[in-house]
Amino acid sequence: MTRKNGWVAGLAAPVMIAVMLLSAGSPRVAAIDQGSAANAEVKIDNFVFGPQTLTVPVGATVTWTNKDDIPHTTVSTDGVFKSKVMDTDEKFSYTFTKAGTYSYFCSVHPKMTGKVVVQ
Amino acid sequence: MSSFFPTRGFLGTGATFAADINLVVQLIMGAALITGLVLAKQKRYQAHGICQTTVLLLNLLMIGLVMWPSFREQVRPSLRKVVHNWYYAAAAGHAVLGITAELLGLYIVIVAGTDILPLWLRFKHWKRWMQTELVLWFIVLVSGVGTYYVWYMAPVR
Repeated sequence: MTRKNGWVAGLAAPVMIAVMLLSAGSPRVAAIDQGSAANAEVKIDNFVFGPQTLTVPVGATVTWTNKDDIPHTTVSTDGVFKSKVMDTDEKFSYTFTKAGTYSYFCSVHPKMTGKVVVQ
Repeated sequence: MSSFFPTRGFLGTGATFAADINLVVQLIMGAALITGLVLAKQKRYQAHGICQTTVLLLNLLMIGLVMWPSFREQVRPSLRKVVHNWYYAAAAGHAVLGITAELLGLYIVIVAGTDILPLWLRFKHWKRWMQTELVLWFIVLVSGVGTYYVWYMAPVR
């Protein structure tokens, strides 16, 4: 290999590393838990909202707590509620005044999803 | 997170759209810099200058649209965790290296393409400065790919 070719090969290495990482993909596993309460808690732990589906009565306040050591958010898919970025142990609460199903996700890690069913 | 972009990414890694588009643009820019290097070797200096300057300015745009907003929202409030959490350490290290590479690149472009700076602020050893910048840029690219992995891929494995 000539010196010039070695240079180009060395600079191309990061591109190849990135392509390999991306092609490795990632598993998608989601266990669905159920919960029900007037004022309910959702824990964010290890990149999972728990319980992932929560059933609450109209008027209930749901509080999300980030138990991870990295930041997360809670954002309604329909734009009904949106937390700021929550650091470890920070909380976000929202009171549901209308019946319906509210899907939400973490805007930092969009694979993290959850649902609040208000009856 | 920038509101310019939709939320969900398109690479299937669990990253945001902004992170995915930034990764793709950065990899394309890496390839463009290699092309620029080849142009310089072929003594096509004008094309080389246009190529490298375009990458530099496009990176500035990506910093403003994607990387800085993400850093400001997620890392800056938790800088105390940088020393014992890879999530923050990777991003902070990448930010320091990235800012250095961008500033050095801007300096090189200003010296190479304009007469703005006084003589005592201009360098003469072009090749050495540009090679240093190129190597630094690719170190930043590797650290950026590493940050993407730590933020979006490692947690969901």
